[in-house]
Amino acid sequence: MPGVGAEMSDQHIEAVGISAIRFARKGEFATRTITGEVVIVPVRGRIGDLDAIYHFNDVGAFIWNLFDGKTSVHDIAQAVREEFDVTLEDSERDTLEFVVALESAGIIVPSIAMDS
Amino acid sequence: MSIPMAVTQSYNDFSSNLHDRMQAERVPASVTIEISRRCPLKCVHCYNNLPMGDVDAKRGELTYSEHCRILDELAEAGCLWILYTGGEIFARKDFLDIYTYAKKKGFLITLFTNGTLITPQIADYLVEWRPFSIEITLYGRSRETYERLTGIPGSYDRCLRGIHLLVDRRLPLKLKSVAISVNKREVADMKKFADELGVSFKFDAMMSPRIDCSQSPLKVRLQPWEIVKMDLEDEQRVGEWRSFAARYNGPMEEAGQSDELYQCGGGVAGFAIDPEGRMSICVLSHVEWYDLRRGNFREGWDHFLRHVRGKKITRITKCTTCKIKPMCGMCPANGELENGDPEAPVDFLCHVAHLRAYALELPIPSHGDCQYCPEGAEYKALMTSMDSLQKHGAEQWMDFSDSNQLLPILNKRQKAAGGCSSCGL
Repeated sequence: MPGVGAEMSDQHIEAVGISAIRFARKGEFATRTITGEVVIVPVRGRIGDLDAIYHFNDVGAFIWNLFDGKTSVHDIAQAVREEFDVTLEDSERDTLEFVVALESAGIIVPSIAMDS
Repeated sequence: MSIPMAVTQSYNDFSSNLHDRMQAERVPASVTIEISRRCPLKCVHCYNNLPMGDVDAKRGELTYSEHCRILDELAEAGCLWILYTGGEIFARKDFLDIYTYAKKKGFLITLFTNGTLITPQIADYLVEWRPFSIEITLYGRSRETYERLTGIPGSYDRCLRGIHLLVDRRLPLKLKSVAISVNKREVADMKKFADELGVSFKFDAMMSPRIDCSQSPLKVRLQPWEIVKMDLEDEQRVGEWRSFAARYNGPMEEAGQSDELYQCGGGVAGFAIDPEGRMSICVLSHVEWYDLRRGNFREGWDHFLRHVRGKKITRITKCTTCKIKPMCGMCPANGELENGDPEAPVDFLCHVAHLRAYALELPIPSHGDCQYCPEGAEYKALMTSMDSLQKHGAEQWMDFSDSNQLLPILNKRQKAAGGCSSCGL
């Protein structure tokens, strides 16, 4: 993501722990594609008011679909690298930032810790 | 290298930006779907309601499967916002089934209801399947007034129960009201009640004839001076009108130059579907419609509504060159309902717009042959309204704030600049 490069080193360190974690969406969401952007809309579950809304580009949408409680952050980063032809360093960094942002917003939650 | 992948925005920013893009691309962003015309209330002002037991109305309503098919088509076309309204949405026993289907499709859904049919079970369901917003119309703050307006004994208590069921569950409730002759003196108390509950409140004083052509709602419509008085007593409303006028009231050479009949978002980003599946440019406009039972949404949007939206004016009216049109609310649907002609100016709206502009001391550039401008046939009536406004200015109906201090502007009538170039009152 743009404008957050200074935070990367700390997050990268954190990634050593987080990359083994699987994340799942909190509640049920629908994914809509509107004028070329992917918008996620809360469907079901005791989520808060919609005072903020998330919309993704194709990379974000690709990752969003992998928050299935089965795929680790590390595996997601690998999948991003293969799908979008970027370096592993870039895909790990950006995937991690994406995870941190959505977890902070409370729309994904850690699922099952994997063996590292 | 960084891979931009997510954007988080406040809802308002998101909505504004997306609406702009969707309008530019003529994507059907938002739809108002009337679930049923049936309603347990018999409100004197309503443009739309039919009795709960109206067999023909019930028989004509879209089936659940027809709703689902239409929702599939709307989602495919990129529609994001749905407003479900009535009649009364919960008049249909299967409304929550339709609603749930729409939720699963990923629409952002607002519900309009009178609240009287909301049960604990419905409220609990809405907690699980949370709507974007729910708006309950409160018709009075006292039981007597509420039920005089709705015509149904017991409806006041049922409405309050519905409100509390939603508030207790922290659902995204807003309250609103109509302001008509029956309840005009309780609007402030309704606002106070909303404040106590911690929910927002708004009201609308502009009533329309019924869509079945009955003029009955107009019997309880406020007088123009009463509508403007309510504006003046609400400091926020005054500010909004001033801001609106500053942004949109003409300069003379620019206003009124468009030859398009429709100036709104209807047919560009918004549209309506009635209980029988007839798609039109808005909920108030029923002269032309497309039958979604016989055709699909895409055909209706691409051809029928594009044609309706593209209509040109056929003649020059005083509305064409009016420089205070944004103060008015006149639109083709109002013309159809009040005059049977989308282009025929609505006298009442013209009266209110001029009075509002005078009272707020907003300039009224000359705009041709207008009855409410000096030398016009209705100018005397306008001045009578100004006198009524002045006479009743000290009566406090609203008490929204200490905004009564705004009323003294009425005492400066001789200095009310603007007014049709040089009204020289």
